[in-house]
Amino acid sequence: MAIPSSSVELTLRGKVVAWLTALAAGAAWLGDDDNARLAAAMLAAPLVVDFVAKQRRLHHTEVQVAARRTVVGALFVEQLTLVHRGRRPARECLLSEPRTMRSEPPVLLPVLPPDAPVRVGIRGRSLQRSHVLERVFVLMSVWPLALFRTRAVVTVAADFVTEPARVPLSAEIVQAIAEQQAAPRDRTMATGLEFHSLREHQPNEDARGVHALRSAAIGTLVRRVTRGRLPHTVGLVLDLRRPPGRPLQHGTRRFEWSLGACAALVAHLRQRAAQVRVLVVAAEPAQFLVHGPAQEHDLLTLLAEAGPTPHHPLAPDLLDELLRLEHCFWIPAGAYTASPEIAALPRTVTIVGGEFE
Amino acid sequence: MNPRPTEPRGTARLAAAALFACTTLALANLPAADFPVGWLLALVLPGAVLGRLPPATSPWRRTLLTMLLQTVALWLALEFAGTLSRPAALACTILPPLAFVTARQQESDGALGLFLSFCVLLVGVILDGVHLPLVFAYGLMACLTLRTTAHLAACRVSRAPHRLVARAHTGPVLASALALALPCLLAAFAVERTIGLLPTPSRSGTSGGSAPADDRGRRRVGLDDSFVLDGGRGALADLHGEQLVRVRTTTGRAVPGDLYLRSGFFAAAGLDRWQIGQLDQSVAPHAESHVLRRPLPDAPVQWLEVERFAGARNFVFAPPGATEIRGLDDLVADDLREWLRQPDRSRLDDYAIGFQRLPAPPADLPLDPRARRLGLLSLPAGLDRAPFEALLDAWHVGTAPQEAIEAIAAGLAHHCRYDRVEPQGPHAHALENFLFADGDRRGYCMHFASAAALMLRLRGIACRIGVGLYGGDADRSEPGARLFGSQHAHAWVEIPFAGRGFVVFDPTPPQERGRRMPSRLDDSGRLDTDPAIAAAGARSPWQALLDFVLQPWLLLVALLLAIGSTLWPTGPARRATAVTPPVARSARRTLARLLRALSAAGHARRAGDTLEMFQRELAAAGRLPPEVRRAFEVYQEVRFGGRPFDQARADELQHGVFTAERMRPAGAEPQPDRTAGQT
Repeated sequence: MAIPSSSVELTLRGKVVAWLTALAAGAAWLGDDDNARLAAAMLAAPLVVDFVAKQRRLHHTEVQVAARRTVVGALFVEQLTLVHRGRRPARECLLSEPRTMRSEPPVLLPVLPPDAPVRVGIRGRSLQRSHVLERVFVLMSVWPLALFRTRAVVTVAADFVTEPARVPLSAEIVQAIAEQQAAPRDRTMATGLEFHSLREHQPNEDARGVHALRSAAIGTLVRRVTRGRLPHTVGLVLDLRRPPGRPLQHGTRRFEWSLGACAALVAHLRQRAAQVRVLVVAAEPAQFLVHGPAQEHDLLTLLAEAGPTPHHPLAPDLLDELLRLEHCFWIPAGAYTASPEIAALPRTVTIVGGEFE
Repeated sequence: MNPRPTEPRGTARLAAAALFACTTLALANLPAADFPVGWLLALVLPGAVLGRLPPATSPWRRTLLTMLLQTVALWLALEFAGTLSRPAALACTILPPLAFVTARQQESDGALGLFLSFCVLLVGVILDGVHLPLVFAYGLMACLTLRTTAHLAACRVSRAPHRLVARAHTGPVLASALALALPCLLAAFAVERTIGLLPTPSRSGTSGGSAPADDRGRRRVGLDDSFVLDGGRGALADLHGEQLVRVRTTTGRAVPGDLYLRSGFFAAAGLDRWQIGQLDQSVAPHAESHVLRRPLPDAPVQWLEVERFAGARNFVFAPPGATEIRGLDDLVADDLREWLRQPDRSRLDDYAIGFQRLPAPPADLPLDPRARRLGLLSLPAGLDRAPFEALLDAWHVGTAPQEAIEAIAAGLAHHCRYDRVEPQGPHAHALENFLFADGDRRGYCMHFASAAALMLRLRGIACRIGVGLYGGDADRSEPGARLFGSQHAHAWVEIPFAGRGFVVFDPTPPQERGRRMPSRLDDSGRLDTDPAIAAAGARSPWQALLDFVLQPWLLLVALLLAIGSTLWPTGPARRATAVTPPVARSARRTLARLLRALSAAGHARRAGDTLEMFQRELAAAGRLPPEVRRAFEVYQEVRFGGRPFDQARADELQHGVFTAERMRPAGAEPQPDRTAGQT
C-alpha cells in the first residue's frame, strides 16, 4: 500500500541555478569579490524564496473517488472530489494517476482552497489488467518559481478493476455450438437452424448453401448463414496452468488474449441467453455458474486478478459438472494444450486459442 | 511569447513583456561610455530581426541573412562609433543571443533569455558598479519572468484547453510575482551580506564585510573618497572598475611591483577635505609627443605602455619622474604641477610614457623655490597648531626634508594604526580623530598622507598629496605586464625638490599600501556604515536601528530561521472527513494488529503489495492458516463489500490475529524428529 508522502526536488532549471549559485558563491569566497558575491546573492535569492514558499502539504489532500470497472485500453472519465487539508491553498497543481494516465496529460488545478471540495474530471485508460484496492494519485506543483518541484503521493481506498480487453471471436468459435446443436430442445419448439444473415459465396464452398432467390436478385452468389440455438448451459474451462517445465513469465500475450477471449465468450453466450458453467483451473480452482450479472461480475473480477500458475494435475471431481454438458469450450490460457482432461470430456469440446501454438 | 494553443494569451504576453523588460534593464545597466548606443544597436538589432523571422524560413536563408546583417551592423558601428574597450568587446558576445531569444519568444526562451540578461547585468555591474534602481527593477522583472514561465510550463504540461486556463489567470500570476519580488530582493540582500561573513583566503585578518558603497551603490574599493577629495576635478572619485589600466614596458621587462601611477594631486589642505587647488591648464601643442621635463643625466629613461579601460577614460596616469608622453592626440596639461588629463569624450587611446627611476634626493638638495607660489605651504584655516606641534616635538621632527620625512613616518607608524575605517573619536575633524583620539587611532592611506603633509607644512616643508594607483597585480595573460584597478587606489605625499620635480614620500606602512579590501567592522564588531556620519560623531536613532537590523549575523539568522521553518516536520493532516468509512475503522485497527503479528512471524508485507498479493505470497509459502485467510476475507468484506462489522466478523478477525500471534517465526519451524519411526 502506497504511503501518502510529499517530496521537494530541484527542477532542471533549479539545478542550473543552484550550480551557478554555488560557483558564484565559491568565487566570492575564494576571491572575496564583491561582484561574485552580488551574483551569488541574486542567484540564491529566488532559490531561497522558492524553497521557503514551496507548498509542502500537498499530500494532505483527500481524494474521493467511486469504485470503477473498466476494460484494458478503454478510455474513461473519472470524476474526483479533492479536499485539501493544508493550511494554505495549494496552487497550480498537476494531478495525475500514473496507472491510468500514462498517455494522458495531467490536469491543472489552478487552486485548491483549504477544506473546500473541488470536483475535477480526469481522462484515463488503464493499460494493464488488474484489480487494485487503492488508487494512487500524484499531485505535482512547481509554484511559484519552478526552481523546486513538490511531488505528493495521495492514496485513496477505491476498488478499481481492469477487466481483460475483449477480443473478437472467430466465426468458428461463435458457431461451434450451433453446428453441433441441430435441434434446440430446451427453449423453443422450432427445429433446425435459424437464419442469421447472407454473405458472399466462396468458390470452394458447398453450392447447396447458396440462396437462390437472393443470388438471382442481386446478381451475385450469396449464401445464407445460419446458426443454431444454443443449449441452455455451456461449459467453459479456463486453464491457467503453464505446461510442465515452462516458466511462468513467458506466454504473456497468449495469456492476455485468452482471458479476453474468455470474457468475450461469456458475454456472447450471455447475450444468447445461455448460462455458462465456468471452471477456472488455477492453483485454487474456482467454479462459477454464470447466469446473471452478479456472477458475470465475479468472473470478470477473477479474470482481472488472474495470473498463470505452475503446472499441476487437475482433480478429477472438478470436471463432474462439465461432464454432464453437451458442449464445452476449453481455453488453454497458460498454453497447456495437451491436457488429458480435454479428451476425458465426453461431448464436444472446442479449444479456443489453439492457433497460438 | 507566442501563445501555443494550450497557453493563456494574457500570461504569455506578460511573460514576453517581462523578458523584454529584463533585457532592456540589463542593457541600460551597461555603462554608456563603454557601450555606445551605436554598438548596442549593432549587436542587438540583427539578433532581434532574426528572432522575428518566421520559423518557416529556410535555415540557409536565415544564416546568410544573419551574417549579412551582423556584418553590416558591425561595420557601421566601427565606422561611426569607434572602437570598443576589451572588456566591452568580450561582453558584447552575449548581446546577439540575448536579443535573439528575447525576440523569438519560444518555449524555452524565457529561462534562457533571463540567464543571458543576468549575465549582461553582471557585466554592467563589473564595469560600472551597482545602480540600485536598475538592479531592483531587474529583480522585479526577473521574478515576473520566472513566475510567468513557471505558469506557462504548467499549462503546457497539462495541455489544458486554452479557454480553461485563460480564465482569470493573468491577474493572480502578476500579483503573485509582485508579492514574491520583495522577499526575493530581501533574500538577495541577506545572502549578499551573509556571504561576506565567511572567512576567505583572500582576506587577511579576521574582520569581514564588504566594501562600502557610495550613494549610487557603487562599491568603493581602494582609496575611499568619503574623505572628500572633491577638488572639482575629483582625481579618484570617478575611478571605478576592477581593471582600469594595463601597464607594460616597451622592452619586455617586468613592470616593477612598487610602481606609483599618479592621476592627480591635492594641494589645498583641509582637516576634512583636501582640494586640488589652482591649475594652469593648457592644451598640449604637439599631438604626438609632449615633453614634461628634460631627463636627468644620471638615470636612463624607461618607457611604459599604458592601456586604459573604460573606467579610466579621460585620466592620464604618469609615474613619478615622468619625462615625456606620446600617443595622445588631445592632452590638457599643467607642466609645472605635473598634471595631465584628457578632455571629455576623448578617445580611449593607449599611450607611452617615459620616466626615470631616480635615486633618493641627496640630503642637501633644496626644495623647489616655486613651491610657495604653488600653494604647497598653505595650512587649513582655523588649524589649532598646538597639538600638531606637540606631536612633532615628541617625534623630534626637524626642518630638513629627509630627516623630517623619516621621523614623521616612524611617528605615524608608532602612533596610529592602518585600517580601512574612518577615524573615530570626540573631535570634530577626521584628521584630529586620526591623530589625537584616545585609544585606538586608525585610518587609511589618505589619513596617513594628509597627516604627514600637514606636519611637513607645519615644519615649513612644501608638499602636496598625490593620488593614483599603486602596485597593481601581475597580468596573467601577458607576462611582465601589470593590471591596475580601483582596488589599487592609493594616496601619498609628494615633495618638490629643485630640479627633480615631485618626489614621492609614502607615509603609509609599506605592507598596507594598495591593500585590496577594506574592512567594515571594527574590533568591537560595530558596523561602520556611514563614514560621514561616523566622522561627525553622531548617529540618529533610525540610523542606529537600521545598522542593527542590517547586521550580517542577524540577516543570517533570519535566513536560517526562514529555511528551518519550512523544513520543520509538520503534523498530520487535519482530516475533517475521513475517507475510510467509520464502520471499517475498528476493522482496520484489527487488521493492523494482524499484519504486525504476521510481521513478527517473519512475513512483513512489502510496500505496494495489496492484501491479495500478500495473501497469495503467504499461501505460496505455506504460511496461511485458514483463520488468517478468513480474517483477510472478513476485512475485505467489511472494507469494500459494504458488509457490517458485526460481532461475528469481529470475532473472526480477532481469531485470525490470535492465530497469527501464535505462528512461529519463519525459519524457526521445528525440525522433524529423525529418530521417529526407528524405534
